[in-house]
Amino acid sequence: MDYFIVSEDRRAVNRVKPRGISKSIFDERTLDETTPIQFYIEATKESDYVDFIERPVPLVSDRLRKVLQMYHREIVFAPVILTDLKRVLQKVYWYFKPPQVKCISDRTEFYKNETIKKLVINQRYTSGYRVLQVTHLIQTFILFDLMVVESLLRRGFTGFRLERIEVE
Amino acid sequence: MAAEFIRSVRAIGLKISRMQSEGEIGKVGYINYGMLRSSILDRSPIYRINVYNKEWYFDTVQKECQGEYDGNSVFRFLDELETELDEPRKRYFGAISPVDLELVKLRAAAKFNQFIVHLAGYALNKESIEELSNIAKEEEFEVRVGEYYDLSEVVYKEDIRKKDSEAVKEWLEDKHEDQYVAAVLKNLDLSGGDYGGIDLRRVDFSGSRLRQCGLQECLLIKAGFRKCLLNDTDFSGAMIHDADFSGANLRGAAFFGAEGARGIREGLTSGIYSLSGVNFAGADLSETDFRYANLPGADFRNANFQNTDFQGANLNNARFSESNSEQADLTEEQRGSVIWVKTEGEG
Repeated sequence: MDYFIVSEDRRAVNRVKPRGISKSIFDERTLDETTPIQFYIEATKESDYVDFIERPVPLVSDRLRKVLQMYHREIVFAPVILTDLKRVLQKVYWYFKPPQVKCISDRTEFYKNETIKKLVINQRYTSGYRVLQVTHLIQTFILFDLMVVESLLRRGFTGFRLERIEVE
Repeated sequence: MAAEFIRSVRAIGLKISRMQSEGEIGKVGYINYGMLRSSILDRSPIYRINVYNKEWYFDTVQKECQGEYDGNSVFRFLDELETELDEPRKRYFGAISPVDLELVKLRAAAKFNQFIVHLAGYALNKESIEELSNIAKEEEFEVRVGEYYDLSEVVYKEDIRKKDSEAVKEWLEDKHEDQYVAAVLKNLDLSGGDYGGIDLRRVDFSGSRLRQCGLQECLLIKAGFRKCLLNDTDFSGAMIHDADFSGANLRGAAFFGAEGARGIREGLTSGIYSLSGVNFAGADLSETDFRYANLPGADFRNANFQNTDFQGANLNNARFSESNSEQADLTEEQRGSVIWVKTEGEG
């Protein structure tokens, strides 16, 4: 199996940046599929509504959610409205939380402060997961497998970069 | 380019044979080439080769048998395109970002994939590959090229199930909508049938008899009629892009207004990418009616032309044997637009 770390594409300079989101908002409330939470976005000259926003919490566009849902029933989604006050514009996004999987391999390389330098995962623990999250201390990685990645690239989704990782 | 593809087929064939002899995998039903856009982004355009039994994607046993095909000889032109577009991009002061260019590249990849599909079909049907014939196969066996776990096209098919001419004829006459694509219907007697308007893309009729049949307005793109008996059969208005009529008997057949355009530019409007053109090499075309057929780039070498009617046909860059120069009844304009080739051997 091939896996990729999916991270936000910083080259897209005009990507929308939500304000006032803290991770705790989603941790505290029980995630609710029906009541959306509203956030404002940073006012910029141009806004590029990319399909994948990683920070401060992972958000995906409605279109991307539909595709991810085809691949995985276990991903938790909660609706979010991003509001652009200046332009009086609202867009639906979804907070998403992939299943947490403990799959960090012994061969992973660490920095001296124990953060991960090079992630290696053990496929014994990832079988059946096409979309997953790996957490180590304060680091989290969102991983997609090859089938999902190809599906997204084929459909022209934007806002993410891919880094192939080693699988043991 | 074809050699490189064949090398990948050989490699996967050997791997399959080895795993079969060790009992790790069973009979093979599908070999699937999937284009990986993720690797195109890395500029190492790899196709993933997957092997399945007759259950195809639902096969859970043979997933371990995989291979790779490096499409660099084709996709390097896509990388070149990217480099070429990157320079003018910078003139727009950031209005077009590298991200946009990447999207353009990924979209264009589908067109390059089409070319690989064509290349694969050409490579596999040209010669038989020993490593491929040595593996244990299901009764139906396909090599497919396309997207990774998405649309793919059959580029090569074997089907050794016994077929009954009468039953096949009845099946074709039922005119189903989507059952015939890439079927193997070799060496059958299907004469006198009314098959008008059906979709017979990539169907292999080699060696079959199809005398006095109605095939008008059929989709016959990449269909194989090698050495078929096609006397008095009606192909009027059919789509015959890249179809192979080599060595066939087409005495009295009609291709009135048949469409066999070739070239990438044509493909942009019709969506049908034909690269080889229609093949009539060595066919008997006496009394055949090609009026107003569109056959640019077709191969007419060593064909027999007695009273063949080319009135109003487009034969741009079609190849004719010099030795047929007198026999073929062409207008001055047509004579000027075709390519006359010497007939010794192929080439």
